Amino acid sequence: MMLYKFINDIRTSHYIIMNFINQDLTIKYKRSLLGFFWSLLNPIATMTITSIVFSTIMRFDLNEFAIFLFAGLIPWNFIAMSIDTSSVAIINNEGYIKKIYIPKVIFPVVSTTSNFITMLFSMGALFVIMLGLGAKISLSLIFLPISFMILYIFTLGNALIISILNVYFRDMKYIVGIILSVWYYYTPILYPINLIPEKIRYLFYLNPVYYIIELFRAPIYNNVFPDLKTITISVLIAFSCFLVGIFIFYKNEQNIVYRL
Amino acid sequence: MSRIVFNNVSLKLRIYKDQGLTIKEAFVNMFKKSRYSENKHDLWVLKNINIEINKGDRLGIIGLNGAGKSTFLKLISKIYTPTEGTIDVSGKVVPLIELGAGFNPELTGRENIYLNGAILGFTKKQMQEIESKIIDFSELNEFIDMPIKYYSTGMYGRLAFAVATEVDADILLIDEIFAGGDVNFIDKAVKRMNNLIDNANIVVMVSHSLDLIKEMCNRCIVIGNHAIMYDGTPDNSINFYLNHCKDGSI
Repeated sequence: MMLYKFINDIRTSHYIIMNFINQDLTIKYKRSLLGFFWSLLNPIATMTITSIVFSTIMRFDLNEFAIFLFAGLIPWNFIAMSIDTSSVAIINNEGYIKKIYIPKVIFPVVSTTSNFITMLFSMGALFVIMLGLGAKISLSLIFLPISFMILYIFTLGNALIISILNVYFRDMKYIVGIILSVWYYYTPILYPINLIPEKIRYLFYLNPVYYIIELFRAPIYNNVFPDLKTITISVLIAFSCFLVGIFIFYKNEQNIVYRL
Repeated sequence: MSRIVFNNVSLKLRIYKDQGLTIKEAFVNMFKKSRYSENKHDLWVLKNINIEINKGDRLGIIGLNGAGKSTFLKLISKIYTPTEGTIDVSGKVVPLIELGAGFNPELTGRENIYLNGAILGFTKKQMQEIESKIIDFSELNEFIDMPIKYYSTGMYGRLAFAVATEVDADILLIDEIFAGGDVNFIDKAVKRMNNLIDNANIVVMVSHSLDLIKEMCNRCIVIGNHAIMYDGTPDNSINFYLNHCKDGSI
């Protein structure tokens, strides 16, 4: 029922969603010389710095570590950015919500989707660099579209929840920042999971993002298809996040206008 | 077929003393029995409203400040959902409640035309057809590709008015509409408003100008004490309203 409402909302307002996404992608870079290229340069710069620093500290092979990092960091950045921007998605669009009728669900959808598009571009650009560093093109890469889909659904679910929460608890925005930086180190992005002592490794297996990241790392870094367990767990996680998100969002949709 | 039907509609607004609850407060409140109780109080803006508005109606709404007139329009345009009861609206609603509400100051005038069209539910193609008409009407030809944050208030108002009134409406909602701009523009705007009102199937308008209501409407309701107190011809409604204003029973 709520899922149907979601699909219906998206269908009836797809034109305005496209308009908002377009705004999101262009306004950010208005008046900057390189424009949208910053979306590509930014991750390239962070990747380069992190790769050099960490491969030196941890004595990894630089090229190999860069590819390893790339596979994990790009999807993580997408999750983090989407959650961060979605936390203010509804509040920042107060002007629309209070003055005209618009399905409110489009705001978290717009911020997630524009981050998703940015990620696809930076993934593409970086992948070219990775090929130069010795990444292999293997058959396993054809799994990536599915990885992206699962990643998107997982993130959208989280975005829906956080966008509502922040309307009720305005501290959320700040807490989210802290949670995200803790989560970043908790997720095996900078380090491989087998670096964690086996005794406490199970703690890291409790992290849902681990499985999502694994969907990218297996095909890109290890050149294999993700194993069935990883796929099953991440699909389950993604869809439950999504359904919980839809539920929480539509449960509160009609009340948020009074709380803005 | 254009029609608006209110079935036993009540709207409760929740007034919060602060806007959002902090985590700390929510946490403390979890242990108190009275959750949020000191933070909010409920206000019934409208109670048990029943009204049918049919094709051809030019409905004026009058009442004191805060009586719920604008809320009534916001219910029709689905910005607010009724707490109880249902509202059936058939026909395309064009709200002229807040002009320029959908504008983004960073975008150019032209981009904002498309954005506003999208919000009103028009496709890009439909907007392309009326784009030049909107620009001509607003007289902003030379400024149309400039971000509207650089517009003067008058230019902003002209564009907002031109966009909002270019589209055809089945149901037109008007809240104290007025057009900014110089004398020439106001003349043009009034003509256009009248034209729009003539072409709409249903018009619902809120105004404090009783003369305007008399001139434009063929039916008028008085909202007060959370209810529709009177429903009749504009002349009768206005008399009722003025009499009750005098004795303070509204």
